[in-house]
Amino acid sequence: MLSWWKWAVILIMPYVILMGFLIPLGQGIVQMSPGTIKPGQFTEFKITGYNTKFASGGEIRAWLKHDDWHVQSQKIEVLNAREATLSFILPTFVDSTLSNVDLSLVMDTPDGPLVLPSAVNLNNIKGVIASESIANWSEDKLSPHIESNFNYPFRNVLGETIRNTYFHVPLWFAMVTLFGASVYFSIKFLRNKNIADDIRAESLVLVGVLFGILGTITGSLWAKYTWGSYWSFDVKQNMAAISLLIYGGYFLLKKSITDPDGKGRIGSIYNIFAFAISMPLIFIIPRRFDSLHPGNGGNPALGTQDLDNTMRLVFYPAVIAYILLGLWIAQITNRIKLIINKLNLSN
Amino acid sequence: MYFFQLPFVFIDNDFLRSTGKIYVVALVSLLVWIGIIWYLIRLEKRLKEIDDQTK
Repeated sequence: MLSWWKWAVILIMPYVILMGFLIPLGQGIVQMSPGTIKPGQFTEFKITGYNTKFASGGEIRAWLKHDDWHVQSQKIEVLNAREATLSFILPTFVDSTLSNVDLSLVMDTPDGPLVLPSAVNLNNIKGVIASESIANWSEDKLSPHIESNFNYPFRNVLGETIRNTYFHVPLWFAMVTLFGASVYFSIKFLRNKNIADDIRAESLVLVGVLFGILGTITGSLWAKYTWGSYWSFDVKQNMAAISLLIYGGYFLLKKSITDPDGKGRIGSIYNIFAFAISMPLIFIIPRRFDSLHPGNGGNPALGTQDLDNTMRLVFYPAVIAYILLGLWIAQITNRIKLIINKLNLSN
Repeated sequence: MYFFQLPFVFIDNDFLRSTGKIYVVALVSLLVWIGIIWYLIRLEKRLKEIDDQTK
C-alpha cells in the first residue's frame, strides 16, 4: 500500500500539468507600429494583440501614456479579433524640456485592460506646438474595466512561457528540500555514526543533483526564448552551475575514499559545507547583482508582479508535488543503496 | 472557448516561438519527465545488477 504522500504526488501532478497547460493566458498586446511619432502628425498605428477579442463588439478605448499624462485615441478601427488600427494626433509633450518621451499604450476593452510599456517614442521637437485644439494631454484618472477572466497574466516577452513557472521553478524548490534533508542526515550520521544515515544523505543529494541539472537545462531553454541565448552568463545561471559542481565534488570525494567510516565522515562534513555554500550562491548572491532572472536585483520573485492569484492556485501544488516526487525517488534510490551496502556488493 | 490562438508569431517564424512560445513550455515539461525517467531506468539497471549478483 502506498503511503499518503505518494498518493498526493499521483493526484497533484496531473492537476498541475492539466491546469498548467489548460488555463488560458490573459489578453495582451504584442506589437505596435510605427515605433516613433512626431507631435502634430496624424498617425495610424497598427496593433497586434494576443488572445484579444477586439471584434466582439464591446467598446474599446486607447491612450498613449507617460507617467500621469495621457492622450486618448481619436479613432479606433477593429480589423479582426487580434488586429486593430489606432489613430492618434499628439501635441508636444507637456514638459517641453524633454526631447524624447517613451509612451506606453494603455487600452480598455470589456475583457479588461491591455498595456504595452514603451510602445512608442515621441520625438518631442522643441518649439513645436501643434494641434493643441484637437488633442490635449490629460491628467484625468483612467478607469479601465477590471480583468474578470480566469487566466494567467500576459507578460510581454514571456507570453505562454509564464507556464514554465509550474515546471521549472518547483525543480529548485525540490532540490533545496532534498539538499536540506540530506544535511539533516549528514548531521545525524556525524552524531550516531550509523552508516545508513550517510547512505540516506547520499541518496537525497543524488536526486537533488538530478533536479538541479534538470532545472539548469530547462532554465537555459526558457532563457533562449526569453533572454535570447541558452547561457547568457547571468549570475543566477553561473551560481547554479557552480553549486552543482560543488555537489558533483561530493560524489567524487566519496568515491575516492575507500575506508567506509572515513567516507561517511568526510562526505558528511563536505555535504554540510556544500549546503552552506551553495544556498547563498544561488539565493543570496544573485540578489546583490543585476540579473535577468526574476527574484534578483532586488525584485522578489514571489511578489504580485510575478505570481498572481490564479498562478498561485497551480504553483503551490506544483511545488508540493515536485518536493514529494523528489523524496519518493530518493527513497527508492536509498533502498537500492541500502541493499547494496547490506549485501556488501561492489559499487 | 479557445486556449491558444493559431497561427501566431511573436518575432520570427521559429516553430518554438509560434503560438506565444507555448512549445517552449511543452519542451520544458517534456525535458523534466525525460530526465526523471532516464534516472529511473538507470536505477532499474542497478537493481538488475544486484539481482544478478545475488543469484
